[in-house]
Amino acid sequence: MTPWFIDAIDARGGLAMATQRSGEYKLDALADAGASVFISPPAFVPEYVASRSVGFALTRSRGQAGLFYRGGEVPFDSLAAVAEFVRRSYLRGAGGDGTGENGGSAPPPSPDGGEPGEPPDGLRGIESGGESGGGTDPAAALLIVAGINSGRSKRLKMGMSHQGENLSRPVSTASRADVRRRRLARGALRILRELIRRRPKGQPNKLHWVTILEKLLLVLTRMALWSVMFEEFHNNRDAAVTWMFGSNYHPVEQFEKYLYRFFFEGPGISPFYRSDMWWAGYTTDMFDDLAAFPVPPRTVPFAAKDGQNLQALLAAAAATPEQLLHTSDNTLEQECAELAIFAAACLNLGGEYSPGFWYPDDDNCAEFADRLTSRAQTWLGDNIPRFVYSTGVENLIVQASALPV
Amino acid sequence: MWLHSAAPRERAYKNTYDLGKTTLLGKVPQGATVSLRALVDKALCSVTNSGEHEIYFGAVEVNGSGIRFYGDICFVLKTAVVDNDTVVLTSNSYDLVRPPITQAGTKPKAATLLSRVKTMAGLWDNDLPEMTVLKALSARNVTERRLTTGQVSDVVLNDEDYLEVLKLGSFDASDLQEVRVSAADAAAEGQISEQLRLGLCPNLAELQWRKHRRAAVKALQGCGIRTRVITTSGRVRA
Repeated sequence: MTPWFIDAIDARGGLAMATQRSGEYKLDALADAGASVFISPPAFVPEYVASRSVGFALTRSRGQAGLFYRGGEVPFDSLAAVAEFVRRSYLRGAGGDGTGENGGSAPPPSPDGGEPGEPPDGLRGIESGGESGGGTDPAAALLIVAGINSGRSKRLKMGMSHQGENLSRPVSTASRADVRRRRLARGALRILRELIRRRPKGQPNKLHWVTILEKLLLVLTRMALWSVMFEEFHNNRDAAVTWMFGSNYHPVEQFEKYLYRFFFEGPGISPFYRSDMWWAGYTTDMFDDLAAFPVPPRTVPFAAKDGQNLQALLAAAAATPEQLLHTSDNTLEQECAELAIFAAACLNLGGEYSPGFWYPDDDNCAEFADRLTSRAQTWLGDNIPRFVYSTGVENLIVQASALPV
Repeated sequence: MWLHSAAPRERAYKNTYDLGKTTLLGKVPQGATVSLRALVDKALCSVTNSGEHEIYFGAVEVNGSGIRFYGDICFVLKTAVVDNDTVVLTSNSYDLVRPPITQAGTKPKAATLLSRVKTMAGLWDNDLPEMTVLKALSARNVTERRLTTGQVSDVVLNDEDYLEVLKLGSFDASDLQEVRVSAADAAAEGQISEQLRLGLCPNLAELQWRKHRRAAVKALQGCGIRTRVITTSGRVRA
C-alpha cells in the first residue's frame, strides 16, 4: 500500500494537503504521485484535489512544507490516519490559544508565587472502579483509554497507525452512579477553588473576576451540584472552608458572600435559592465560558498564561489523552480527568437546568447530574483519538499547542 | 482582489519569509531546505523585478469569497493598494514545477522556469482585462449574449483555478476594503451555535473552528472592518 505524506500543513489553522506517493520528499523535485487531498476544519473530511500546486501554495503563508521527524518525512498508512492526524493537531493546537484566539475570553490572571498544595483534609477518597469501572466512572474510563493508547503507541513503528481505544459507554447502574456525579462535582470544585485563588487584590480586575464567578456559580446551580460538592468533605464544614478558601478569607462581593456562607454554614443551605436569582435562567455561550474558567496551572503546563483555562485542558484531553492522563502522577491524572468531565458536562448542559434550581429536590437533582455526566462521557468518547501513532508522531501532535498563530 | 498572504509593516500580513523563524511541527532535516518554493520564487523574481521576500501572494476575485484552501476568511484589498504594474499570472505559479512544464520526478530547470513564467505573466493595469476574457472564454461557450457579472466571477476564480497576483509589499488592516466569508461556512457556524444552545453538543473541532472565526471577526471589527457573508457570486448584496 502506497503511504500518504503531508505536502503542506498549517496545524493551528487545521489546513493540510496530503498526497499518496512513494519515496522520500526531498523538496527539490516532485515525485510521480497518486491522489492528493485537502483537509480542513470543521469536518476534516479529505476532499480530492486536481493539482498538488494548491498544496504547495499553502506554504507561502502559515503552512509549512512537509512533515518531518528525526530527519525523515512522516508517512501515514491510510488516508483516514492522515486526516485524523490533522484533526488531532488542530484540537491540541487550540490548547495554546490565548485571549486573542479565544475572542477576548480569558481567566483571571494567576497570582504571583507558586500554586498552593492540597490541605491535609482535602477531598475524600474515591474508588475509581478499576479496569471494569469505565461504564460507571467516567474518569476511570478516560484513564483506561489513555493507558491503552499509550501502550499501543509504544508498539507502533513510524508510519503505522492503530485505531484508538473506544471510551466506555456510560452504564446506568444505580448502585454506582454516585461515582459519576461525584466526578462531576469534584471537577466543579477544582474550578471553583482555582477561581477563588485568583481573586484579584485590587479594583482593576474585579469586574472580570466577579463576572466569571457569577457565571460559574450559575452553572453549578443549574447542574444541582451544591450538595454533592459538599459531600466531598464528608459534610465537614471546616474542611470544606479550608480547602476552598484557605485561611483568613473575607468575602467582599455579593455572590462571593453567598458562596462563602454556603460553605461556612454547611449543608442544608444552598447559596442561590432566593428570589433575586430570577435572571439565572438566562444562559451564556458555554464554550466561551470554558475559556474564562481557570484551571490550576499544573494541569495545563503547555498553555499560554492567559489560556490556563478549561478549554485548553479539554483540548489536550480530547486530542492527546495518553499524554495528559497517563503520567507518573496518579493524583494529577485524576484531577485532569475530573476537570475534563466537568468541561464536557458544561458543553452538554445546553439550556437545561435541574429541577432543584428553584427548590430542594435531592432525588431529581441526583438523577439530573447523573444523566448530564453520562452525556458528557458519551460526548468525550466521540472526540478522543480515532487513530494513534508511533510515539514520535504522537509527540508532534503534542507540539501543536506550542506553535504560534 | 483576494490575498492569502502579505508584511514588513508593523502588524501587517506576513509571507513565509517574514515567518522564517516560526516554530514548525517537527524539524526539517538539513539538505531539504532547498525547496521547490525557493526555485519557483526565484523564477517569479524575474517578472516582478524584486526580491522573493517582497512578494505577497493573492488572487483576482470579483464577487466571491476567495480561495478556500488557504483559510475561510477572505481579505479584499482597496483598489489603491494594488499598484498598476503589479504582476498577475494566468494560474498558480507552482504549475511551473508540475507537468506539463516540469515532468514528475525530475528537478525543475531554472532556464525553463524563467522562460515559461514570462508567458504566464501580465500586468494588473494593462493585461488583466484580456487575461480575464481569455479565462472566461476557455471555460464558457461563446454566445451572442454578454457574460453576466456572476458568470465572469465564477470563471475568474473557480475552485483550484485562479489568476495569481504577485503583490509587492505587505498590507495591514487599514488597506482592507472589506472581509468576506462564504454562505456555506456562515451556515455551518450558525448551526454549531444553535446545537450548542440546544444541548446537542457539536464536536470539539467544530467548537474551536467557530471560536477562531468569531475571534477573527471580532478583531477585524475592532479595526473598523466589516465582514460580509457572500450569498451569491452573481450579484453583490449588502
